[in-house]
Amino acid sequence: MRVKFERSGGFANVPLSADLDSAEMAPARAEELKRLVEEARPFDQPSTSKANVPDDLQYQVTIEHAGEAKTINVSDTAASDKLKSLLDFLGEEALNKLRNKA
Amino acid sequence: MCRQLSHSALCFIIPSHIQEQIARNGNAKQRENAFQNLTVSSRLRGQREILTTFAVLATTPTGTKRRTIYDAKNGMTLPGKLVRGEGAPKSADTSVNEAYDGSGKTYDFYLNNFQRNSIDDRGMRLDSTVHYRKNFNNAFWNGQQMVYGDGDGQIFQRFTKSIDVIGHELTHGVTQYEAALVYQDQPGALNEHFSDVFGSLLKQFVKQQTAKQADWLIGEGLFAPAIQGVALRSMKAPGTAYNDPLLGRDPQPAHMKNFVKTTSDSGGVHINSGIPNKAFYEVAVALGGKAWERAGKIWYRTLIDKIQPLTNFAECAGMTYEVAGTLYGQGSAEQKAVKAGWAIVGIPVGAPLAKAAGER
Repeated sequence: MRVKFERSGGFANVPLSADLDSAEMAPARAEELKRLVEEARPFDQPSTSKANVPDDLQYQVTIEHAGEAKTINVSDTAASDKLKSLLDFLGEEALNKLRNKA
Repeated sequence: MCRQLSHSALCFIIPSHIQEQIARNGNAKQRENAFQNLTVSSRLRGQREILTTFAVLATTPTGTKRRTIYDAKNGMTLPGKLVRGEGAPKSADTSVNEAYDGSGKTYDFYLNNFQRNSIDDRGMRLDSTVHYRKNFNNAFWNGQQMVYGDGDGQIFQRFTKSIDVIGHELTHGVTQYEAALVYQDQPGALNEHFSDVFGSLLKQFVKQQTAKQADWLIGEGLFAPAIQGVALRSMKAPGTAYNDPLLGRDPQPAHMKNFVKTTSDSGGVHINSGIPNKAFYEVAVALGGKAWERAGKIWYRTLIDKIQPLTNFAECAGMTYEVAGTLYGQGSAEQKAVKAGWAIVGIPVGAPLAKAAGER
């Protein structure tokens, strides 16, 4: 599974983006990603879902999995709890990847 | 809208005539909820007159601070468990006390300087939730309450640590009630700007600093020790708050010629706010003394009396100039300082307000 992750906004507006690949993750993390995607069902989400909330985190996430690709534009408070969990996980992975590069 | 937002006040399931009955006859909690629903829904429908009917029923006497702090215990459910109410003793939890004290100082700041009775000017309860989610790197106003994350400890520390963050978030509430600035592009950057202005003025008020003494930083001390930066934003020198190998550098411009066109961050609302922020700083320093007394008053009256949902930078500049003239006289030192401040960031005041397409 490949994920293109971009986060902006929030009070801090420290942008964060990374191209993630489950094949490059530790096995336990790759399993965790698979579970979170199954629960959050990003392929069934509307492509845009935004709340009118100041300082809300803004996400653009493209997921490629099993021959399918889906891009969702979502703000944090508009996301379901399960999608929030996936977004939090992707944010951690994106930061880890950046840190390894820096 | 109802599916996207978890808060019932933004969902108009109960017809307004029933809400009115509850506002008149319900118990205190029911009345508060009903009044809040009526307030939000009638504003959205553009029926502001309904507010005056119920203001008498629902207004809390001026000077009555009502704070409630909740603990989400690192979960996602809002508001979470009630941990400290108004007048209750200090908690053992630093975040709880910071949210309590910071929202109290914000209330005092608005009351003492602008005779404003809380966020809605009707004594609205100040609700805050701390410990929202795990390692959550954000703080926000969700339309009804403040929400604070703990930070991940690697980039950010807890978001209650810096009092201007608390003033910033509560001011989003004030803006929501008074101006309803759309959170996109230039109006969104103005929404951010007003929150930074009153967040910084709150900190200056608490420290009793003059404009010259103040650091004009937003979110000072929020970064974890490993990050190379003093704060998230600088109103005095936008673009200089941080420069870190991991995070990159502070992207804020200080002049219109560096205005950033972007689709991320709701059209750069936290980026281009650097331009009006710098203008405000210049006005405050030119006038000298305590910035909330004159510069702050001009900006406050502009927000309350003039700003519209789609106001852009040039229009906002013209409004502050007009307000300065009304408050201090045409051609006064205050009005001249306002004009000069906007000129420094490349926004001429008094020029025709015609603007290129897409500038909003």
